[in-house]
Amino acid sequence: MSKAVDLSSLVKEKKLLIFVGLGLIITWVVMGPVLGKLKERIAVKNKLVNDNQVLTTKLEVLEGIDDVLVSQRVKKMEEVFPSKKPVVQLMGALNQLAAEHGLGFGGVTLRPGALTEEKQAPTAKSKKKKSKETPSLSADLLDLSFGFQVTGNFDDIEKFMNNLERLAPLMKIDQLSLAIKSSPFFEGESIAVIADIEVLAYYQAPPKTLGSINKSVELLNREDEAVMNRLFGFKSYETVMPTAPTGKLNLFSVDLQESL
Amino acid sequence: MEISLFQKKIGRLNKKQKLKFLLTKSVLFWVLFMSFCMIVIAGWSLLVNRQNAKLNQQLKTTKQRITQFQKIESQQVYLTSKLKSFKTLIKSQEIHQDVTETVFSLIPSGTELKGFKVETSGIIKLSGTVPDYVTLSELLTRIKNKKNHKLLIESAIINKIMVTKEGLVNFDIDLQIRV
Repeated sequence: MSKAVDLSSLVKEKKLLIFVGLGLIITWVVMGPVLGKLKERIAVKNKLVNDNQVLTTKLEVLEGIDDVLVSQRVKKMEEVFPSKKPVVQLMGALNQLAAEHGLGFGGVTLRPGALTEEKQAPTAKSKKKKSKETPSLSADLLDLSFGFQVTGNFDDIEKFMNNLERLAPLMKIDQLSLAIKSSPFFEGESIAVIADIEVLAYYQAPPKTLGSINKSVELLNREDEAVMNRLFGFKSYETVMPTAPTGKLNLFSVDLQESL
Repeated sequence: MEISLFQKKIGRLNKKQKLKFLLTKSVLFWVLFMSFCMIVIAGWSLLVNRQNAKLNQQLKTTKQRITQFQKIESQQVYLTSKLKSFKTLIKSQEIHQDVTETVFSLIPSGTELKGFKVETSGIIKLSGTVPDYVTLSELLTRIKNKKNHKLLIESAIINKIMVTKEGLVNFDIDLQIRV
């Protein structure tokens, strides 16, 4: 009984405190979700503002890019540094360059590897070479080895070698054998040079995706522009492709019947 | 003279009533304040929501416009990705070319050079055959003559010189070219 009396007196004494406490709880219960919602909406707004800014900048950058120039550059890049194995282009270019310098061209050794477009793993040899020579090269970069023999006089072969540096598709001399035949009549004068050259031509598949739409467009810097200018210095020869029709003709086709 | 018999009680009642009045007033004020706050927050929230809807619309339009430039974007991405490898390759190609030209300028007429590997490090293992000692001497003189080459020959070590039955001279020289 005395305990109940104590409790009621205690409640009476703390009445004001209880009221304030209750008030705060009610405030929290009523205002909490409303404030939470507002906070959430403000966060969404900030993200939207940020995204919008990024996209607007990206759009401005894209609008500023010269469509014609980029297309030209892509075309040239594809000629010089192709996306697919440049077997035909390489053979054609070397053959035509040799012919231009009046050199004999032959002894072709080609190691084209897989014919499918599957992603091939770089060989252990090329991996080792890449890590040793060029640490910043992309993993998609692949090479194609091509051996050939050119015969002619010393000066022409020298010019041919010099022009290899600026010949599309991009290649570098990997191995070289030389046989300089001297004249039996004039001492020290070379009459014919036989050069067995092995070159490595490079190709790299283009990126598969553009990435997120929010990803900014990377523009070319000064150094890139200089490299781009050098790219246009590469000489490319038109690849002659066979045009002879292959396979059976459809004798019942309308065009054929009309022509008959 | 007025005698109040319930002065204490009345005083306590007065105090209680004042407290009740104050409490009622406070509660009323608190309710009003809360309502005001609720209106302000709800209004603010509504405004933010409207802004979000507007931003969303703007974002959609911008995305649509960006999609129209997809061809240019993919071309630009193609260029930048390829340029990274191309820059490194072109430097390496230059070195290879210079090393080849340097070795080419060393070889006198009549020499037969076995395949040597062009290394970016500049280490070249030169081996082959010359018809006689005079040509070998010319080859060695050219190696020693540092100024006439595209790249500087830092060192040259003759590993082997051998004369064959036919009178030809086989040589094996290690060159270190500065690249």
